[in-house]
Amino acid sequence: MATTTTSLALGTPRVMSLEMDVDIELVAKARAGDFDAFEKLFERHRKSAFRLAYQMTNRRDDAEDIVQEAFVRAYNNLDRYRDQAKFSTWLLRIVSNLCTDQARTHIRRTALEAREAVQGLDWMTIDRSEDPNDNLVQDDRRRLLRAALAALPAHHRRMIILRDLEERDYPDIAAICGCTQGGAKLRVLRARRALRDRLAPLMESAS
Amino acid sequence: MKNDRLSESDLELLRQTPEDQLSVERFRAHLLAQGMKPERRRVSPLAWIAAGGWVTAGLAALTLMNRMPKDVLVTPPPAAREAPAPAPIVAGPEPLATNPESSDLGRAPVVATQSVPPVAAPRGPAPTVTRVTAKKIVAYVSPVKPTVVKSEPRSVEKPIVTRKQLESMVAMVDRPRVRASMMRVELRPTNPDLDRAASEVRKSLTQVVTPPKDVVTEDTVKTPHRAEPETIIVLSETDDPGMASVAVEKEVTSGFAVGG
Repeated sequence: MATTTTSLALGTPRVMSLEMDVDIELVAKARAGDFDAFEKLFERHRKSAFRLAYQMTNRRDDAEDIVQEAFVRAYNNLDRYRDQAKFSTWLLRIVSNLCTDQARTHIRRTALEAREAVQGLDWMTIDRSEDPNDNLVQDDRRRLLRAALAALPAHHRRMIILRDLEERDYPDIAAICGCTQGGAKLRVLRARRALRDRLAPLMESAS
Repeated sequence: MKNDRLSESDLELLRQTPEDQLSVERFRAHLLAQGMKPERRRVSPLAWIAAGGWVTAGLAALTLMNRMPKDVLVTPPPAAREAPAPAPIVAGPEPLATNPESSDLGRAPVVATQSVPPVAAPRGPAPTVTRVTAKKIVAYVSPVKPTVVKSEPRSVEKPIVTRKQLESMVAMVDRPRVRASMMRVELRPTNPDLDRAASEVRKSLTQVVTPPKDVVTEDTVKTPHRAEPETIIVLSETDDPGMASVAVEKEVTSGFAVGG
């Protein structure tokens, strides 16, 4: 059973402000001890957190563990959350840090495991096209893309995910990565270039 | 600048992720597995400990403040407040704390001699005794709490101020008005058994230190500050053979210092 999740963290500024207000209200309630409010926060942000974790780890179970741990940390540190930032940004920063820690912990994971994870995605995703040939081509291309993304260093991969896949704006990326907006732009450019360099030989060999 | 961004179709392929198996129930179970209860937060034990420490410290400070000697703030009369012009210091009697007769005074923290050194009178013929301000006298004989004999309320074995000391202190005051104020020692025996002794002391004090005639009456002198009513000073006749040996516990008002 698998579905595709293509929802983006996008919206008009008014909608985003409304969403932020809702988050702030829920956080205030959760701080007061209302766990139901925190469950609502969990429901609202678990998907985006999972997407980031999954893109970073390429393993669903690892991503789920990271998301759960991130929410546990958020729950324990609600007092430290400042309302100036978006809750989603704060949460994604926790997720990103956990992904980095996880990558360091499992740095010795073999390439075979990563390849298995990529192949595991193939049967978990849903084919959109009715044409089997198209599906096959798409599967190959997706596998190559994911392999190239997985081969990137974690800091480059995080930039590609946040900017190109999640389409977050630069202030958010800067807040998540703990850098300036200019630094975030520069990192994104470098990450894209690195991904392009990784992907080109893979595409050539496939063709 | 060359745009290295992936095409939209490639990005769309990359955005496909499997459905997560996360749920609120699973998250709650995860919290419980980690020993946390998803419920209303309680105040942590550390916070309780800290609060208890603060409360204890506050109570201790309060108790300490109650036990600390309270300075008898004396506002000398306007004339006495005028700072005398510098003049050579005239040798006067030793501070009472060093007086061999007042060995008991050494126990009391009346070390105000450091802050108020004796100074001589500004002008006129040099007096035979050191002129001191009323404030200084207060510092010497201030009925500070350490002299209070609360633990042994009826003890008369350790006199605090002898009559001679009191006289010498009064004599150091050059201002008759202040001196008269100091002499208005109101004796209020706290024990009915000591009424007789108190009356004798009152009488003897009146005899010994009769204020000058030009002294203003008691009613005209305002009391700037009253000492603690529970302040107890033990007067004992130890060195005046002419007086009957009397030991009385009395409540001393601020008149003992200055003003009545």
